[in-house]
Amino acid sequence: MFAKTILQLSQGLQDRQFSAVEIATLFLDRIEKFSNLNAFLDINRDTSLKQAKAADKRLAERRANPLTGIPIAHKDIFVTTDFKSTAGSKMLANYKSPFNATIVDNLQSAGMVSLGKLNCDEFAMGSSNENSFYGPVLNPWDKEHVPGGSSGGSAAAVSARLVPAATATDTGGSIREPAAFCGITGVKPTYGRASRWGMIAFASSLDQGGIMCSSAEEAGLIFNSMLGFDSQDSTSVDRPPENFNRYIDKDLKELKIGIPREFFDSNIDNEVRVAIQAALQALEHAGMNLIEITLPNSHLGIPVYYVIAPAECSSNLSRYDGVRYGYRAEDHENLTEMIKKTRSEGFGKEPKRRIMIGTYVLSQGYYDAYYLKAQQVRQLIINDFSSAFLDCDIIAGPVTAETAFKLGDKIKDPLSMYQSDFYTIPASLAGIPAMSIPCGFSSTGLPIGLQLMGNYFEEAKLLGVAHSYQKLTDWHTKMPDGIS
Amino acid sequence: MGLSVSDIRKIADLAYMKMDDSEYEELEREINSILEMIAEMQQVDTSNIKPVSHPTGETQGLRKDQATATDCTKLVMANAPLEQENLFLVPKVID
Repeated sequence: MFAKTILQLSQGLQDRQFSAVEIATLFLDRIEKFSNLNAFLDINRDTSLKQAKAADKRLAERRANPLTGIPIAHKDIFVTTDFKSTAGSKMLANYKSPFNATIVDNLQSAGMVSLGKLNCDEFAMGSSNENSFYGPVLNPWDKEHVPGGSSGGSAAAVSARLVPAATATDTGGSIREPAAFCGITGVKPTYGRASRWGMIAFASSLDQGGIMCSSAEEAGLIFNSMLGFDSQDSTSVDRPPENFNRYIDKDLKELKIGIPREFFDSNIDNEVRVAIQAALQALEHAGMNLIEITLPNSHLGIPVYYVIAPAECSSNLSRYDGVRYGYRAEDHENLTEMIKKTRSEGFGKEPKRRIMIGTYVLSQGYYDAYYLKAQQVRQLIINDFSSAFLDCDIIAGPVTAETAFKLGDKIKDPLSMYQSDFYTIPASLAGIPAMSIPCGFSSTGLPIGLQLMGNYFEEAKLLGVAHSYQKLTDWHTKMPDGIS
Repeated sequence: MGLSVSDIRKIADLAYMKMDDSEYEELEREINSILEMIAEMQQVDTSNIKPVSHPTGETQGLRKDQATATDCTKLVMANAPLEQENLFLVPKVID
C-alpha cells in the first residue's frame, strides 16, 4: 500500500477501496516505525486523523478533488497552527504559530491530510541537514550518508515512503540537491509562484517553496492546488490559474534541450557524468533535440549567492531577539545583554556564520562593493539564461557533482559544503523553475539526479519533459531496501 | 587584506551576538576564506548593469491600507517568553 503512487491512492479513495483514515493511519505507523531516520520533528495523530475523517466525508459526499485524502507533510520552515514550527532551530523550539502558511492552507483546502513537520537544516541553511538543532536526518539509501539539505527531512521521508509527498523550500538548491541524494522528484517553481506567506524567511529574494514526491505528474497535480497569487506576499506574481499537467500528453518531440558546457567540467564524478549522459540520450531517443549552450557566468553563482543569501539572512534573522517569541536566555543584566545572549545561545553555527558575513557586507562603506555588486552580477547570470532560452526550451545537466556524501565529511569545512550547490545556485539566482529527477545509481547504490531547468513560468513544459523521461525509464519507481 | 579577530568582534557586536574567544578565532578563519571566494565576483565588469530587485522583474505588490487580521492577541501572547496583561516584559530600560 505504501508503495502506491499518489494517482493510485487517489483512484483507490474515489473508488472507496480504502479510506483516508486508513491511509493516514498506515503512514503515521510508518513514521513511528522509521523514526530512526529522524525525518519528522512533530506529529499529532489526533489532528491528522481528524483531517482524514473530514476528507472521507468529502469523498462520500462527492465533493472531493484528486488530492482529497492524500497525506502530505511540511518542511518545518512552513508555519502551522496544528504542529510546532521550529525551522530546525533551538530559537523556535516551542513556537506555535497563530496562523498557517498559505501553502499549508492551500493544500489543506484541497483536502490533503497533514501528517506533521519535517526536519531541515536550521533556518534552511545547509546542504546536508547536519545543521539541524534536532540532529541530522539519515539517507534511507545508506544511513551513513546525508540526505542532502536543507530539505533533508522532506527528501528522506518521501524516499522511505513515510509520506507520499512533502513540501520543501529552495534558496540555493535545497529542494533539488536532497531530491537527487534521496532518489526522488523535487521541483522548485518560478520565484513568485509559491506564496512565501508563513514560510520562515532566510533570503527573501531567493526563497521559494516547492514540492517533493515520486514523479513529475504528481508534482503537477499538487502544484495545481498549491501555487497561485497571494496578496499576503508582496513578491507573489499575479497570473491566471493554469493546469501544470497540460504538457503530460503532448507530443514534445521537437523540443530543444540545452546542455550547458560549463556543467560538465572536471569536477563532476564520473559515475554521475555517465548517468546524466545516458539520461540525455534517453531524451534524444524520445525525439527531443540536444543542443550545446553556454552559461558563461555560472561559475560566479556561488560567490554571488554567498553575498546575497547571508545579507538577506542577517536582515531577516534580526527579528529573533527573545522579546516577543522564541528562545530567551536566562541571567542577564539589561535588555542589550538579554538580546545578545539570546541570539548567541539560540542560533547554531551556520546561521551565526551567515549573520556575521551578512552584517559585514551590509555594514557602512561595504554595501556597494558587496550586496549591490552581487545583485549586478546576478543580472549577468539572468542574462545568460535569457540568451540560452532563445535557443532551447529546457536546460538539462547534473544536480550535484557527486552522490550523497558521508555524514561528518563536510560539516567542518563550510567552503566545501558551499561548493555542493554549484549546479543548483544559478537557477535559484535567476528565479527560474528547476527540478531534479532520479536518473540512475552509483556503483555503491546511491541515487543520481538529473537537473532540468525551464524558462520563467514554464513549469508545465518542464514537468512535461520530466514526465516523458519518466515514461521511458523506471528510476523514479525504485525504493531503498529495508523500508517495508 | 583580511579581517582581524577584533574586526570579527566588532561585526558580532553589530549583529547583537557574543561568542567565546575560540569561536571568534574560528570565525576569523572561516569568514576570511569565504570573503576570498567572494572576491572573484568583485572583479567582474558590471558598468551599466542594473542590480536585480525581483528575479522576474515584478514590482512590489501593494495592498489597500485596511485592517485584515482577526483578533489574535491571545495566540500571539502565548508565544511570549514573559508577558503580563498582554505586554511583553523585558529587563528595565529606564532608571
